[in-house]
Order: sequence, then structure tokens, then C-alpha cells
Amino acid sequence: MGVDDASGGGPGTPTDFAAWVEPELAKMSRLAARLAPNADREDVVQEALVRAWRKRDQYDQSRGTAAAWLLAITADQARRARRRQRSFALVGEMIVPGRSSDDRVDVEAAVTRLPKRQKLAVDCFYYVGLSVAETAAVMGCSDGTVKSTLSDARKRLRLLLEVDDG
Amino acid sequence: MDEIDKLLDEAGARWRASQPPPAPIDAASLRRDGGSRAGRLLVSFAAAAAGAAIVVAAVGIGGQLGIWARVDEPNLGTAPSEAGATSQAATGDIGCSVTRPDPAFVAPSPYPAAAPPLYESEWFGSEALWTMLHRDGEMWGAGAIALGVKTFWWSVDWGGMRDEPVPALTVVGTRLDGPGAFTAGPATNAARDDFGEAMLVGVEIPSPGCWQITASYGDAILSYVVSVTDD
Repeated sequence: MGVDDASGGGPGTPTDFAAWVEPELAKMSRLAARLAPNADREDVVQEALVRAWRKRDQYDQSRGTAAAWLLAITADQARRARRRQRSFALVGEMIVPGRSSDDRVDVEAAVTRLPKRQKLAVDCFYYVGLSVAETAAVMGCSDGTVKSTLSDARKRLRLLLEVDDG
Repeated sequence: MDEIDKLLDEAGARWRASQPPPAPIDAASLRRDGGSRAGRLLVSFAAAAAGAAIVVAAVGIGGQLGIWARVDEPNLGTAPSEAGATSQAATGDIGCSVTRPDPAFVAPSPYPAAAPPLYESEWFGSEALWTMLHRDGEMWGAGAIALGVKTFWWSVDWGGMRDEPVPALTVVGTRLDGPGAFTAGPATNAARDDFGEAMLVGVEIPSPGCWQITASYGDAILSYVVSVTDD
């Protein structure tokens, strides 16, 4: 049973709920990893699941798919985890080893230089593998805004990567 | 599809293929009110607002919450010892002899000889491994459970954040008045103007109670007892 099979409100027991969200777990996990790379993705997902469980009665299918709802909660938890990581940085500085350079890193490095919203759109759509609608749920905007943000991101990446499209 | 679209598609597919499968859902954990599997480190009560407050979270939550405690003697050496002063802490139904930093350890140069006054704490331990404990002993509140606590550690054997950014420091907790244990880590590092560089470990307490916190670094082991309440 996928989450989108639900007709409104979440399942009533933890076991049913677990079965309800299971098809979306991979996306949730990837989203957590992408949005809070220094946090423990499993913690982020678990926190998101607990929060979704507590708020399951608030899920309204008329406002979007359950998958989008779960992903939005996961994104919010990832942002909280990232803030917690930043609090470490307030008093400490983690020394991170340098990365090796190759073409893959070039693309990754260029993505990190995108403006925040553009990077979020690219992370969700290209890396996590979300649909435009799911990306819109995570970003809290319309599908059209996602498309235009992705278009802007590609233009900027073209400059950053200096790709000759021919 | 233009070249950039293709590059991103390929990069995304490679990244997805490299990701581990998600952990299975622990349905039982949904029933528990606590939530997180582990996560939630740091930024206790006073939270991200100020670095000083964060440090206080690690060393003096008890004082912040107006909870009192008393203590015993420093615990240090090659095995958790009973050094330090202790005192009975008010922990509801449970008495807990929390550790007081008495006598205080005098740190060698270049470290400040005594813990900075801001924290109302004293150094506790020896040159091989020391930490900072509130003068009345550590009393941690609900924030230690929900958000975690930063614990700071020092050693003359630690080369500093540049030489050993991820210190080989382990911190474990054992509940003394009931079942419970945890392993914290990994360690990281921290720096502040007042106490300089330190080893830092975020500690999440699974439940209220009387907890022995034990850190190991090299051959040195240091432990103290803290009372954790859910207030």
C-alpha cells in the first residue's frame, strides 16, 4: 500500500502507518542526506516519521499527495538538523579533509555555488529524484515556480561549468 | 535535453546509486513520545542563541534550571574511580550522588588554570583528561533528553583541533539507578576565547535518572555522576 492510496488522514496504528510510508522511505532518506549532509540521515527520517505520526490526523489528501506531505516534513526536519549542525560550528570548527577533483566533483561543486533556492530545486529534482510536484511541496511553491527555478539553475550552472552546448 | 540537463541527470543518477538503502521503520518507536532514534544533539535550552549559553548547557544546566545538587570526589585514572565530592541530588523519588569538582583540578599552561568564571564550574580530572563540572555538580534537565548536551574535554595529550580534529575520545553513559546505557560520539572539536580549544562530544541522555558519564582518551579514563530530570 502506497501512501497515495490513503483517502485522507493517516493510518491509525503504527504498523499500518509504517506500511503506509514505507514506499516513500528511500526518497525521504535521500532528501535527508541531501539537505542535511552532515547529519545522520536515519535520525532525520526517524524524527520526520515520528512527527508525521503525531500529525497524521492533519494530513489532507485534497491539499496534496501523502508522499509530498511526508517529503515536506522530512525537509523541515532536515533543516532543523542542519541548524543543530550549525550550532556545533558556533563553538567549533570541524576540519574537513579536502576532496579529490574529477568531473563529478566539478558538477557537485558547481551545484554548491548555486543560490539557495536553485540548489534546493536541483537537489530535490535531479539528485533526490523527486517529481516537480514533490519538489514544489518541499520548496513550498507552485509547480511553475519549480520549473522556472530549475531553468534558472541550469543557466547559472552553464556559466559555472562553461559548457559548450554543441 | 541540453547538456546541463544531461549532466545533472547523470550526476543525480550516480549519486542515487551510491546511496545506502533506507533503514527499516521501527514502528514501535512511533508509540514512544520521545521521537528521535538518536539525533537531536545540542543546542539545549538556551540553544543557538549564544555560544556562551551553549557552553553553559554543557556544564551547568542544573544551575540554569534552579535545580540543586551536591557531590563527592573526582573520578580519574585508568578506570572510573570514585574521586570527587558527592552530594544527594533532588531527583524526585531517586537520590543521586552527583559529582562535585572538589578538589578542583588546576590546568597546566597554556590552558586557564581554573575554569572561566562564566560557567560557575571548576576543572575536574587530571592532565591526562579533564572536563568542567558545575561547582554544585551537574544537574541536567529535560533538554538533555530532548536536545542533548555538549560535553567538553581537555588533555595535554591532545594536539588540538588542527592536529586531531576528530579526537579519539569516547564517552559512554551508564544509568546507575536503573537499566540504561548509551555511547556518544563521534567527538569533534570546539574553540572559545575563554577556554581555548577543547574536545567536544554531544551527549544524549535516553531517560531521566542518575547517570555516570565516562570518557576515555588514550589511557586516561574520567567519570562523573550527573542527575538528569525530566523537568
